[in-house]
Amino acid sequence: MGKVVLVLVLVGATACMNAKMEVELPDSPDMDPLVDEYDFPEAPFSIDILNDLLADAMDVKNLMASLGLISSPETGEDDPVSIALGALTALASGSGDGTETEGQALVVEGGLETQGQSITVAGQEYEGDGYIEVTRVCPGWDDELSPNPDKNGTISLTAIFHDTGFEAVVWGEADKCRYRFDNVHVLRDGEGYVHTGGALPTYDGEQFTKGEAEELLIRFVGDATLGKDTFHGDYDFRVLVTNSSLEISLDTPDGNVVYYAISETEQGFIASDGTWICNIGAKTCEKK
Amino acid sequence: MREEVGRTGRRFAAAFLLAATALASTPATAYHDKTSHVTEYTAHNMSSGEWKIGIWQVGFAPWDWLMVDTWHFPWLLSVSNIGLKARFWHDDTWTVSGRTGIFKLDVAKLTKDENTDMVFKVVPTELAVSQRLSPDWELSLAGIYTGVVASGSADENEVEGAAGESNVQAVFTLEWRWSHKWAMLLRTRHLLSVQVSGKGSTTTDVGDDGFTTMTFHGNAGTSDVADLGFPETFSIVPSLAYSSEVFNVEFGLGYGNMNLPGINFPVPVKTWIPTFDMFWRW
Repeated sequence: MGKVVLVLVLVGATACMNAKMEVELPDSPDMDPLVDEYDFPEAPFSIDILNDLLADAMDVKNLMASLGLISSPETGEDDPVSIALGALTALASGSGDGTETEGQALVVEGGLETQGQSITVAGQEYEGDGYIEVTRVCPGWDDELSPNPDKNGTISLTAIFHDTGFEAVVWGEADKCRYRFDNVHVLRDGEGYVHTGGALPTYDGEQFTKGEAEELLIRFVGDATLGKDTFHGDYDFRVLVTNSSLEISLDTPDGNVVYYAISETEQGFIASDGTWICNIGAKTCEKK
Repeated sequence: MREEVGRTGRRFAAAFLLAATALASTPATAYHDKTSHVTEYTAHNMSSGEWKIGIWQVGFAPWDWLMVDTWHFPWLLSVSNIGLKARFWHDDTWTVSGRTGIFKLDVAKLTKDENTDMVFKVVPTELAVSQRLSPDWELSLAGIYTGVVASGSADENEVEGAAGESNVQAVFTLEWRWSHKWAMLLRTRHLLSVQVSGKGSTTTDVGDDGFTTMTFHGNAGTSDVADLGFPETFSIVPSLAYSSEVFNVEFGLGYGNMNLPGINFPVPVKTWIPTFDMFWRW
């Protein structure tokens, strides 16, 4: 009996020590259905619902612009999500503030560099799968000079990477994030999802190759307070970098159509029956 | 980041290295007769009720088939350890046994640093077979798997995780008994493989305004052990053993990659390897 116990102890000890200790990757949100919604609208376009569609599109567009999610060059201000996402992209692609490239090595704050198949972050070597969390303390309503996460909240983003580079979906959370945009006090609390397309870099085992952003699909679920107005909902839009166009998926009784705007004069809808160019002022549309 | 898993592991190894190479020991043999055998890296056990106290180890065999031992000097470095060896089967020619043990290092106790909760655990597991070739010659083969796990955080700047550098070794021991009291041993050790598994995280500031931090969660890298493995990591150590009725001594000089006894960390550089052990067995 004693020998049997000993054998079990030996086998158990070996099995326990042989268990692989690998980082557990978080579950990545599935944004493919939303991507399909934008790529393959379900409903045909009808001029009869033009006014309703435009009203819905303007609601989303205005809210996103108010939140700073759609850039506002005239203010020169950026929202925390854009800053955090920009930091994440810059870190991994070797560009932007706080990063520099040295040959094939990538150095971030004296800490992140590639060495063959591994990455060294501040002296700790990593390889294989993993994930990065970027946390940005929100600036608050008073543009405080030092971070105060308890008072002003945070925005956090998570990105999963493999030997081949980053996964396309970056997601995160706004936790009572206070900031100012266009001199309006903004409070955001909820979850955000970004399908980055090819924006994040790939990694071939030797070096990162900077991604070429073609489109960013952004979804925000939660509460947004602008001044005294609070909005609750589930909003999404897509930015096509190649032609600087904005797209918003809109629901109709027959499914969704996609509103697009390249400029004030070039707007329309992408529907299951084709692309429609509209003269918003004249309330007319024609098939492209 | 100021410290990390690998660095603390090397410190752990270095502590052992210092102690172990002070006299560069290997555990010695035993009395040379049919009932009293060499027990290190062979399949043999001590006899029932037998004690062993030496400059490196203390051991006791409650039964013929089971012995318990501990390396006493690691306890001075806050490394608690115990080993169990069980003889599964034997006849006049063959003996088969298994051995396991655990070494546990609490870094906080060693460094007196309350800010760390890092704990290292080393579990060597060994299967050994000995064959008596003739009344004077015996050959033993021991296969050893040593698992290493480190967990907890070890610095003041948010590095945490777990890591392990586990390895598989084979040890051949050829024993030639000159006389009742003298024997020559030739021991070769080969590192067959090294597996590194681990996970960790590093948090670093992005930019210089203090508003943005990045935490990197990943698996431990392997470049520091890339040069270790078969066949380049080995040692060959001939030694002489003297055994009286109670007193035993062994000394020798070999060459290769020194192995930290007990925890089986191979030292990455080749050196001369002196061996010395002294113990009393009754």
